Amino acid sequence: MFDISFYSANGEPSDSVRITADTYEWLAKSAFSKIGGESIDIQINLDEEDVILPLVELDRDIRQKLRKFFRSAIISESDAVIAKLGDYPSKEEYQSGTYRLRKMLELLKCVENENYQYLQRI
Amino acid sequence: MTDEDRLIYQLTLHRDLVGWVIAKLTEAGIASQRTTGNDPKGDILIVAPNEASQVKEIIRDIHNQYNRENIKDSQSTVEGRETNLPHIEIKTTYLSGKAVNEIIDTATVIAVVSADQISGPGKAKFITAGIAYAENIPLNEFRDV
Repeated sequence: MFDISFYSANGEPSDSVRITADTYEWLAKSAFSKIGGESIDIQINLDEEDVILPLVELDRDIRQKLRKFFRSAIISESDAVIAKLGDYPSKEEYQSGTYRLRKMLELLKCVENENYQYLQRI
Repeated sequence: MTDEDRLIYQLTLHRDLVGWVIAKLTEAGIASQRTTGNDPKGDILIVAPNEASQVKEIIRDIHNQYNRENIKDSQSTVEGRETNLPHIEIKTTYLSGKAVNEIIDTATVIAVVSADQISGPGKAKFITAGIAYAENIPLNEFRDV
């Protein structure tokens, strides 16, 4: 599994969205991997340890682009999910059918949270 | 290398490390399967749930093979974690903080194998939760399996 993580300027508070290889691959091949250009090695403090991680700084423009990307992805995914699930999905069908949509919503919430200054996607 | 290339590279590392762990389990006579689609339970399913403790032992041995023994790092106190769907989680980047909690919250992951480092507090949380781990698996060990 993979993590897309968000950190404040000092490292904490932070958040991580755990995603499957399938969803990570989908993100890799989408505009998500290109927004903000290349990640830069930045030192932050996590779990009381100083670590250097490849991060994208969420400035106003990048945050706006990511927000737009996830909002648009959520709309297309909702459409696909409703068509796929039908009226009476089983619990398993519901859980797997809505997986990507739920992850996109989690990612959008993190992008919109201005406490987070950095994004880690690699 | 662009970020897009780096994301794709992480995917190949992940795929190869999953294959390497499955091969290690097969050598020990343990049947396991790569999970598919958007299965949030973990990356590798241990087919027979009663082999979970043996799997944790193997993962701890793998950890000891690639990491110098250290009292603070001891996994001897790892306790049981009951699940009828035991899975292994595979990571390729530094693991800490919330990402550690996400794994513990699954209730299905019994062991974590990573090509990178796990933070000190992260390892302590795994021990408390009864999750075995192996970190710092060198790339040349598992690439192109």
